[in-house]
Formats: sequence, structure tokens, C-alpha cells
Amino acid sequence: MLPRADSAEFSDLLDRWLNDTATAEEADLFWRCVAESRECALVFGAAARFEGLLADTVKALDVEAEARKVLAVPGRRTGSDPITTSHSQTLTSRSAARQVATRQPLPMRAFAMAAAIILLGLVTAMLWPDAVETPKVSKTAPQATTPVKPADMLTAPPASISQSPDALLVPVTPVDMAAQETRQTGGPEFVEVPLTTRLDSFWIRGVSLDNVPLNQAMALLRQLLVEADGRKSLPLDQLMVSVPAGALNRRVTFHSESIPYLKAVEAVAALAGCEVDLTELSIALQLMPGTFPQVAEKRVLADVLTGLMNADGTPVVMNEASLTALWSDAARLGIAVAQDGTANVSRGQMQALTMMTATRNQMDDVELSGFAVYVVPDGQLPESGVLTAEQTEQIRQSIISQGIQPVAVVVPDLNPPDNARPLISATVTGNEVTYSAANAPGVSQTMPIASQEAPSGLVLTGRNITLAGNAAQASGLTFNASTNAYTGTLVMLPTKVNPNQVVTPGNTAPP
Amino acid sequence: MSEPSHDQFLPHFLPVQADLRAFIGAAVRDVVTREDVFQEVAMILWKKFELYDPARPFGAWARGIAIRKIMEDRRLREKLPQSCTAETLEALAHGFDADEAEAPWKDREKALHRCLEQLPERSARLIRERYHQNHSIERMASEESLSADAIYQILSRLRRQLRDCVERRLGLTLES
Repeated sequence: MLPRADSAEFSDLLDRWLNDTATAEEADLFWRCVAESRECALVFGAAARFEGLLADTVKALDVEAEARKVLAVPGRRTGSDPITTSHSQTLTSRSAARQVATRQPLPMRAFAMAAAIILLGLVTAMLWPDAVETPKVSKTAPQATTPVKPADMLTAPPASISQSPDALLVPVTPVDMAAQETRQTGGPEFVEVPLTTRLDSFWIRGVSLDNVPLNQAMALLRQLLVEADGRKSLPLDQLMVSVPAGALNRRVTFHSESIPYLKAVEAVAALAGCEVDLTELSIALQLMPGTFPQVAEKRVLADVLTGLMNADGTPVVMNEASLTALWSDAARLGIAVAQDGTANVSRGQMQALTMMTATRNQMDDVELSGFAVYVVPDGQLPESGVLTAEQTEQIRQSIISQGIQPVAVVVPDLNPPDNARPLISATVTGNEVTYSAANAPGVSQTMPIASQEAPSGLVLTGRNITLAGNAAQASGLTFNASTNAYTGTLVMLPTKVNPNQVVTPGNTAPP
Repeated sequence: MSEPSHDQFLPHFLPVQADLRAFIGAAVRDVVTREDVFQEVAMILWKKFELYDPARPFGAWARGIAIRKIMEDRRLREKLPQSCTAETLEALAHGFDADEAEAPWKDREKALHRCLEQLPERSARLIRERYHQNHSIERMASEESLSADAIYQILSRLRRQLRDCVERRLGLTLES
């Protein structure tokens, strides 16, 4: 039976849909309600309209606030939070400056001019890559850079550093410079390990570049880095990335799953015929000698793996899975591999492949916790969520005393490629790993990759969870029960037991 | 019809464009795809403007075109839940029609401005991150050091508060 429009269940489904946290089943149920109940359609229509109104209004207010920040025009209320500034009437993003200017002569006119500059800047930024046709561009010309948001051009003019003569500074700092200003003094934690070293183990989300000019590609990577550094743990405002003028418009195609920022930069640079020169706070791309596009030569792709060793001391090149992964990486770069393992590859492509292989090895080094999965009688556990360390231990003891056997042990894969909803997934962002339970958007736990702590237990309450099929395989799931669909409360407790071992409550101690 | 009718396009289109974007966004949740669809629908509206019957509300006509556009695109359709069909979108369009009749967009926009002013700074920031910067719940949770579920609850509550606030203000406006 479908939930009624005025029911809490429909309200929850609606919220989940609007928050983009609905599972496929919830989404399907929600849309069936809308299809079959006029009342549900009315409620959804009103909510969706309000959602659109909210987005529209917030954006308009933000544009105005941004312009105020640029000109340091005092807000009409304390603080510069755009949402908290007051308005006597509705302003759209385009009309805000004009309308305000007519009411308050001097500062508001300046504000209107700023808005005009922003519009002009936007147009310039959008058109810029095509406009740069020659490498003979002044080193100091700020417009000869990767497109940046106009606000950044006004607030943060590019600083200069000494580079190779044809290097153009690319202040690819599209966001958050102001937010990070307070960190510029730099604490000891930034001094001890050079920033560029830290960036070699700082993961950004999947990269997808299709025929993008190199300067834009660098800006996009920077954007992903800023996003990954949501906790602002890196002094990114100090990081300088420069691209030689001769390579600004070289186009790059590169796709990758999660990858450390520096490796992505090196791979992209290599594909554009550039090498990367690192100092403590700068990444300088330099032209590789020779012509571009580079000449492709017949090479043995497995050479990329030469010298790499598995954890057990055997050469990686002997490992079939590693070779398969290498072919897969090659395919992503558009390299056709012959049956004998050779391919026509340029020097830059070889280097990009090396970076992708290094990323895979780095991913293998991320130690992930296994989770023992128990089904427990209803009422013994709290609602779906993440347990505290104490709760985890209490529940572990309770389960042991009741003799409840685990139904499976799950070791999550990092970014599982073909399983959208594993029972538990693990993703790396920045220098943290997040364990997330399927079917329960709130049930996730983030912790530093290098943490010695075990994650806490995760509880899934009252959901139908099927431990079967592809999901099981992709999750590294092992069954020791014939039934594989469960209704009730599942608790997943961290364990050091391997999925291939026989599991009992007693041997699933924390890792 | 020829040129003169196109002169009338913008006066019709501009007042409903935000509403149209919201309608498309109700079904197409990915922000980039949503914007692409919106642009394409806007282009179709422009091209087909000669076929528009001025006796009908322009917003309803635009939503009809949007429904066809969404359902004609196989890749888009595949991303929708199975139960989201053309008929379902029609039902949703009726929901929009009814809501539009109840309170025009402009009135609500003004009220919402006032309500946003009242939000505590942290709530305002969360709303901005979600609705302007299009951050995912997961990302917001990470930035706020909260669980995704907590962010989900906060956003749902904020939406409700803001809607209640708007309704109250519209009520007050009507009474005064």
C-alpha cells in the first residue's frame, strides 16, 4: 500500500528525494505515490517549487554578497554572510546591482560597477582559452592565466615567483582564498612536511578531463583539491602552479578514479608533454624536450611495472591482476594494447600510465577494516547509525554472550568500480577514508587513513538487505549462512578476521 | 507566425524561467544535467514559440515541452526511477500548476528573502552550501564533522521552517 500524501512516510520519502539521498527503492516508491495520488503530486509540486525558489533566491543573495565583499561595501547587517544581509525587495542576480544603485548613490554605484566587472570577467573567463593563440604572452599579465572566477581576480592578484623564462604563473585558486587567509601564517604542521609532499598522498575524487586545454585542466584539478580539502587542512593559498606558455593550450584527455592530487597533476602534465618540477610550495610544469604531439613508439607496457614489488616480495609484473589493471588504465588513455603486450605509446602516455599504476599501489596500501555482520533480535540495538567505541564494545560482548554467529565478513573495496551499492563502501578523500553503509545515507564514518583506531560499529535497522549477487562479490562478501536476505537489525562490527577465515563471535575482535 | 511573436517571447519566458528550472530539477537531480536540459528546453520554447497558444498559461506549456524533452532523451530516462513516467511528470506538472495558482513565484520570493534573513548564521551557511554551491550531503557532513544523517535532518528541518515562515508571511501580507 502506498503512503498517503499527509503521512510521515511520504514526507520522509520527499525529503530523501530532495536531499538526493533516496535509495533506488525509495525513489521508485516515491514516484509511484506521485503517479497514483493527486495529493502526493500536489505536495511534491509545492515542495519542488519551493526548492527551486530557495536555490534561486540564495544564489541571487550570494551574488550580491560577493560583490560587496570585493568592494568592501559594508553589509546592511552585521557580518558578511550573504544570507543574513537584509533586503527591502527581491533582487535577481542580474538586477541586484542596478536596483540598489538607484537607491543609494555612491557605494551602491560602485557595487553596480563591481557586478558589471564580474559579468565582464565571467565572459572573459569563458572565452579566454580560445583567445590565447600565441605563447608570446607577458609573464605578468594576469589575464594570461587559467580562467578564474572574477572575484578572485579582484581579491587575489597573482603573486609572482621566479620560474623558467617562458613560464606563466597559473594562480589556479578558484575558491576559498579568502577563507584560508587566516591560515597563511602557517603552523608548525605546515612547515615540517612540505606541502607538495603532502599532496602526493592527498586524494581527490575522480578526474574527468575531455580534450581540455592544459591550463584549464590544472585549474580543474586545483578545484578538486580544494573540494577534497573540505577541512582546510592544507595551506592551499600558498600553493603555486605554473604552466609554460607554450603548453597552455595543449589539450588533454584524462580519466581516473580517486587519485592523489600530485599524481593527477603529473599524469596530466605528461600527457601534455610537460615534466613537473617541485619545490616546497610550487609545482612548475616544464616543457619536455622534443616536439609535441609526441611521437608514439612501440613499447612493452608491462615495463611500467618493472621494479615494483608486491607485499609478499614477488614482482608486481608477475601478478595477473596488476597486468589487467594496467591494460585497463591504458584503455582509459586511449591506448590500444596488442596481444603481445606492446602498444604504440608516447613518452607522456608512458609517464601517465606510471602515475596511474603508482596510484593503484598506493590504494592497496590503504589499510581498511573488515566488518563482521550480525543479525540481532529487534529491539537490542539503537536506530540506524554509527555506534560509539563504548557501544561497539558493549554490543560485541553482548553478541558473544548470546552466541550469535556473524552471517558474513565484509572487507570494503576502495571505490568499487561496478557496484553502486555495496553493503559497506570505502572512499578516500583528502587524507581520510569514509566507510558508508548501503541503504542508510546517514550511516557513515570518516577517519584519517593513517589512523591506528578501529572504526566503530555501524547499525542498519529495519531494512531489507540482501547479501547476494554482484553486491556480495564486489564487497568482498563471504557467506556462512544459506539464507542471504535479511529483515531486521544488522550490526556491523569492525574485525581483523579475513573474509576467507571461519568467523565466530569470539574471533572477531577489533583490528 | 513570424517575427512579432518572437518579440513576445522574453516577456513570457523570463517570469517563468525559475519555475521551469525548478520543475526540471524536481526530476533531474544532477545539477549539470538539469542545466543542460533547461537550456535545451529554453531553445525549443524559442523555436516553437509560434505554436504557443496565448490562451494557456505559458508556464504550463513550457512544462509540457520539458516533459517531452526529458522523456525523449534515453540517457535521461534511464537515470529516472522506473516509476517516473511521462504520466507521472504530467501529474507533477499539475502539482506545479496548482501551487502556482495559489501563490505566484514573485510573492514567495519576497517572503523568502525576509525568512532567510532570520536564519542563524550556521543554518544560512548550510543552506548556501546546499543550494548555491550544490554541495552533496556527504560533503557537507564531512565539512561540518557531522553524520550525513544529521545533515539530512538539519536540511529537511530548515526547509520546513523556511516554508512555514514564507506561508506565515504571505498570510500576513494578505491580511494587512
